[in-house]
Amino acid sequence: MSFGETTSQLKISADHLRRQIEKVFIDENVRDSEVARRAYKFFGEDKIEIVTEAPLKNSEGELSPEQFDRSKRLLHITEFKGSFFKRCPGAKPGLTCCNYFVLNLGLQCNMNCSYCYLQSFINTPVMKIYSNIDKALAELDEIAAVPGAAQQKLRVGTGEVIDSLSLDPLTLYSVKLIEFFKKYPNWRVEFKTKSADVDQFLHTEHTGNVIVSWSINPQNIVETEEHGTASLQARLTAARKCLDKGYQIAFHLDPVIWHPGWESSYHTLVDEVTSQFTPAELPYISLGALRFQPEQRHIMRERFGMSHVMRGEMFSGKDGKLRYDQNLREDMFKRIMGWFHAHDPNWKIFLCMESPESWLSAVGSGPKNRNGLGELFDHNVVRTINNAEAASEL
Amino acid sequence: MWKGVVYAGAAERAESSATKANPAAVEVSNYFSSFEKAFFEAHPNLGLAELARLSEAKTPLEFDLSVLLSFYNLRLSDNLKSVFKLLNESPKEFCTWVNEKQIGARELYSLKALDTDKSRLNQNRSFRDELLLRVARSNASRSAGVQAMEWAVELYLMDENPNEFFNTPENKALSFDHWHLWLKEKRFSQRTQTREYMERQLKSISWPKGSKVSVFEAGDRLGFEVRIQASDAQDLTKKAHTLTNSAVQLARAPLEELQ
Repeated sequence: MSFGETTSQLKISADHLRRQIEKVFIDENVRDSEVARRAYKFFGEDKIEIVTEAPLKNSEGELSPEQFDRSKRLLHITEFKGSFFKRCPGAKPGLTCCNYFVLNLGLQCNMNCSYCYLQSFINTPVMKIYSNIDKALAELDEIAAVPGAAQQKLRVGTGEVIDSLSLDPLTLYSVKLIEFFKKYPNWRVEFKTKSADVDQFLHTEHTGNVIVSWSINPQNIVETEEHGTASLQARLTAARKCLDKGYQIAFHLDPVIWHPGWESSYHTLVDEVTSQFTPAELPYISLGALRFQPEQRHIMRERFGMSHVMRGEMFSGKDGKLRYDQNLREDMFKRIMGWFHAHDPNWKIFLCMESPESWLSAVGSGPKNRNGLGELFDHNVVRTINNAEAASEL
Repeated sequence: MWKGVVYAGAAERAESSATKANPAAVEVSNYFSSFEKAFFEAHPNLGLAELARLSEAKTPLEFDLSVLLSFYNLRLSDNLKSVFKLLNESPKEFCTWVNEKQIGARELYSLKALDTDKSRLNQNRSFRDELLLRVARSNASRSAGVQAMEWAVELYLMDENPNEFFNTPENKALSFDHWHLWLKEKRFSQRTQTREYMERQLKSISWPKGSKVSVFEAGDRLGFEVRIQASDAQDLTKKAHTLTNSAVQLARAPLEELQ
């Protein structure tokens, strides 16, 4: 695909990205990579600087609010040297979480959500795009080579430490991944985004194993907390476009943010989703309440003031993260699920990053026992891979 | 003495620490590889406010502040520079409290939020000074002092009337512990309301004879704690039956009504 940016949505996103990014650093050893060559065309030579070591190296470590803001305007195209393939961080003792594998194709996000956990996670002063996606795909090929693994229902998500699609007008990694996953029809790749950038891959041939998912929130929360993201309706419209092209879609109502009038905001959101989609069109909707590491509150407070996310009353949960009172969380989950099920009892909803107690209270059973959700929590894949790794170490 | 120049009392008088050579002083440059290391060995227990003053010290000897701070397990980040600036602008009494209670840089991060709104800088700083003096003069413990500062800053940024914090007759008279509780209840008003409601509920319900019932708070969980003692199986069955009735009474007034 060229940078003709044939659709208006892509053009808006690309123009926004060009305005936002002030400088692009490209490691000398990857200057000929596909994404680096695209960056030259996309941004123009004036913004590009070839570097032989990490830019702003002296600023590494805990970032100040100003440094974090700046990191969203500086892009570094570099190689990822570690292992691309990681387990979902939700899989910790005490937490019930989906069986989900994470593939990081970059670090940092060009959007700016007040609650973003990257604020307590990132210690590099620039946004990174990894140029060696082929290495990531080779790692997946290695996993597929483990006897039985390719037949398992593996899920790979790309939106943990970088939005899966908001930089895609530049990288076009989505197209590469969709084409790769044609080889493994039992596996699924998930793009998780708050953008509406889907036009670049809509015409790519696929085998029905691509899930495009959106983190959604009521429009008033989008405006006050999710800066630089697509509007709720733009996300729903993008989801409809994907559905029409045979892609699977999913919505994550996550993080649910308590604020005065939250019932009305989230009820309206549920009405908007249920009026535009049917349960048959969505394999699942995940639900999670606001949570963050305690140390993150300081940078949030400085960068966004006392917005809705900071005004909420947060307490230390079993996992050490700050969360709403458990009774409040359960009440919010019950009500939101109730609004969905009042429209149609067939909506499949699961709680992500929640304790077993919340599951039992809000849903009445654990995730594996929920109709249609067991597959999401199938740990056979992990067992297959772990067993193979253990055997190879002996 | 470092290379012929005596450095004394750097902790207390960093800006005038260099004096003329003193024959009684020991030349330490023979024992340490750097001035920073020698300084640390001489003053291994400096508090954060003392280090903040040192960061602005004018000495005849150039030293590398980041190297010096590394001996104190501190990294000269932008965040630390902001905390140093804040401390150097703070009332002396507060700096003494910071040093004495061994307050860490991150424990003062909440105060940085008062510097973000440039249009209210003067107003915010006068609030900050008053807050810091209140904490310092009450000789609050480390954890309670840090909590009080954070809750007060957040309430202030949520547009609570700053006069309420210090100047109402009730608050002026409050001990630190009561003021700390007042701030907590104001900052976590929903939980306070829920807890008070549960306490009322608890009193209105009949519990098994001899049981001890209270409302407990453990992080994100708030609930009832019921302790029952039973003399034998029959007694336990009887109490369990009463407890079931207590649960029925509780269910009639669910907590959700409050939220």
